[in-house]
Amino acid sequence: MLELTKSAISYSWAMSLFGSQQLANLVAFADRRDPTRRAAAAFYSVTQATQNQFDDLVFAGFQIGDEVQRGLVDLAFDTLTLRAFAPSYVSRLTSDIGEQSRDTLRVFTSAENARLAWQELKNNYEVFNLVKNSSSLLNLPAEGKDFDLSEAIRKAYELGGYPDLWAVEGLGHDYALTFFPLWGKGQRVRGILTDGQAAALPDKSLTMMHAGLGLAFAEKLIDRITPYSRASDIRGVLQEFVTLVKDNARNGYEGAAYESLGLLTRFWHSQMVNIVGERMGEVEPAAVSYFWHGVGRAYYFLPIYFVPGLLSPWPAVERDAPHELAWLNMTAGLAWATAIVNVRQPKIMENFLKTQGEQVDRSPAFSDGVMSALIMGIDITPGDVYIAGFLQYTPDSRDKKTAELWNRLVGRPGSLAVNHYHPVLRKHRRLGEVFRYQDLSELVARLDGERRAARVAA
Amino acid sequence: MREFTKSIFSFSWAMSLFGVQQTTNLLSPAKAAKAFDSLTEATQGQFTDVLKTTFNAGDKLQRSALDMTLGMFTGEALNPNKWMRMASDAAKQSADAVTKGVQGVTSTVQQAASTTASVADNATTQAERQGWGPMPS
Repeated sequence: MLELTKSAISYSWAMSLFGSQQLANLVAFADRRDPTRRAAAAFYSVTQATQNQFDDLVFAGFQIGDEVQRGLVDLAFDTLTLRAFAPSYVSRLTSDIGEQSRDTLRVFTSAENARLAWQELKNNYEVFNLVKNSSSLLNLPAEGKDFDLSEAIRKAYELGGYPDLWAVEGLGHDYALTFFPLWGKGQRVRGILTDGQAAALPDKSLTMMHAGLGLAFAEKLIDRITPYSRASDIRGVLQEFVTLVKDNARNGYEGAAYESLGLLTRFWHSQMVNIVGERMGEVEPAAVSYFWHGVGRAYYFLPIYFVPGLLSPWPAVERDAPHELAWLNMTAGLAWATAIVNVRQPKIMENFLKTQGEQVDRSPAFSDGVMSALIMGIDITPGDVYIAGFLQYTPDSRDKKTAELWNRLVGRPGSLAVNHYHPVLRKHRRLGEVFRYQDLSELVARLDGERRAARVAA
Repeated sequence: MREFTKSIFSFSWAMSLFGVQQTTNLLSPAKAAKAFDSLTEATQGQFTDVLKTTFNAGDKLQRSALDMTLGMFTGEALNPNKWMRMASDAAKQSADAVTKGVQGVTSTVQQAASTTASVADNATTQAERQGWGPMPS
């Protein structure tokens, strides 16, 4: 108790001095172009350090409150600068509010919708826990300690179809962290997922093992920068991330690792999303699409959108995407998460199409996300009964519009992806490609064409 | 300014929730102490040298004072050596803080002076370049 008292007093003393330091930073005008920069950077760093101390529930409360205050501050500034009175601004705001209210009303006015929303909430929570608690589920030692990888993979697959996917992602993360004492100090590490114990990894585990690998790299590296860091420092950290991925991923699976950077940045460092996206374009243009796909995937799991029906992430993706490439990839990433998390209850997807089908039908990215999720799912769990059930599902034929949307956006593309695209991508070891938005039919045709050309040349 | 306002609100919101978190952490005091220490360390990372020394001086003082208070019950507080050491430590730390403070102010003044001098030099050079015109014979 004495130590706790001392720590509490030290903390209060540090906070008092922090206040005076920030006052001095503001008065000093160290940066004439942006006088608040130094103080804002200090606030950011301490806020991040505080967040790291939160448990899940308090973190969720923080994120929800933070997202709300950011929106309100934007509105206040837009009102003060009269931007909020522009007709386009007013119409966008009213349409957002209208759409949201309609969605909320839909969930809480029908017993069936409420049941599906509850089921979706349970799915989200289950996935969140599977990834977070994979170490204890697989009896892995404390962070950074070595373990038997093949035994852990066996245990992950013993969890059965669906949990295995998320457990393998967590396992990839934990396995990469056993090398952290080396790469964390800047030493060049090679072959984490190609050599040593990983050489014997079954092919089916590779996509999510790579997603976990990227998660571990991103988690440790992104803490080194803030939105106020110098551009060269941000580029340096991103370069380190890209080099780590290239040195340690298998050919054709890099995309799965790049995508995790977007997921982690949006989830834990939301203020840095646009900065990292922009700088990534300078460091590794090929990784940009994957990054935005991961950002989209994160929206599904953000606490503010965690409870289905209260707030929808779809308008947020449209509002927050800084450019078309980001928007397409974010939409595909969000569709990816929606499809795979709820794959065991296709009725949830049908209900989603009933209300938001028209909105997602505006872009080919939604179907692409669903196809990618199913390809990844069937690759991780060959012969997955849930995916088979999802593809065989027949929506209520009385609702012709929804049935048509299901067939066009989910059913037909899903079957095509699982039965035709997946075998080609697996054969060419290009499964990392499904972690970004692209025309999969074109990619498959190109890969097939290359094979035919090679045969002709031979 | 918009981002700065958001940063301040985020910070205040995080601090409020940290209070809530620490209340639940009280059930395991070691965890609570660790959380305070982590935040204190992160906050110290934002200090200038002068402020760091000031923080260390105050921190050492409060820790010794707490030890002495507890020492009342164990008889440790009656040990004159302990009092002497505490007083000398406090004096040393304070002197350090003052020295660093003075150094800081001096370097700022020197910097300002050199900036002024270079501005003056530039002005002189400009004047030389322009010249004063032909001398009357």
